[in-house]
Amino acid sequence: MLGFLVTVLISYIAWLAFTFSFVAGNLIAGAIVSLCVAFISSRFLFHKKPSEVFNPVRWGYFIGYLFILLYCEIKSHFDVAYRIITGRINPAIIKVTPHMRTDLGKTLLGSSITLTPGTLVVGAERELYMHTLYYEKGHETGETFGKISRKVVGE
Amino acid sequence: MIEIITQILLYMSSISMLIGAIGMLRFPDFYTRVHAATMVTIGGVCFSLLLIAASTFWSIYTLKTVIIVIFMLFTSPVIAHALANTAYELGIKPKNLSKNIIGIKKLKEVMEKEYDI
Repeated sequence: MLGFLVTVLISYIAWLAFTFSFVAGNLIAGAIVSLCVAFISSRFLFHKKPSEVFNPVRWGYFIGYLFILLYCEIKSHFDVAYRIITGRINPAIIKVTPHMRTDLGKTLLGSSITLTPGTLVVGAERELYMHTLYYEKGHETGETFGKISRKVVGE
Repeated sequence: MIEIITQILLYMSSISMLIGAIGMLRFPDFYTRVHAATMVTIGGVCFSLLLIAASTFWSIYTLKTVIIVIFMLFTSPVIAHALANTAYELGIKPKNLSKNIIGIKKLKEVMEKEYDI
């Protein structure tokens, strides 16, 4: 039930942010649409503890995570541009052990790895198998993301 | 000030798209080409959307464009991962690989045992 309410709240905020008009008809239409969305999708979204959405500690970690991700994105963006121009590549498939218990954490880590240019998750089982464009020994990605992403998903 | 930021973002996005397109042609095999495609997605499209956000600063379109950027950052790795994972399961071999902890063959055996392909 709490998951239903949280879904209604989030989709109503998204509706207001996208339409951005506060006349009565728009507010009522947004309420109806977000109730329909929550009725369909709330049982897929929240399995346990929906009140964790409002945990400020995890939001703080998430914002810090976004800044680290942005830094890594920009750094590896210039790195991949250099590799494309010079052609110095050293591709490898390496194994990343995420130490994550939940699927959410693995999804977050895998999406971040794939989003960064130069690294690409090609297979995900218990470990993640990552294709990297330039492999250097002792320079394994995943450790920088791994620690803070465990805290974002609350493990 | 806003004009300078807009110009910088414009040049960065167009140069990223150009370099990504060159990389699509230059790279030797499938997996490395996906890297170049990721670079176009992040560099080209995100920077040009942020350009719109910066040029309409500070209005409702800024918020909408930033929301579109966030949705794109959530969804674009799924496409790259789906492409790469399909190629890996089908056994498309990466060229000049320097290190391969789990070989293509071993992963194919695991997949055959589990999913009965």
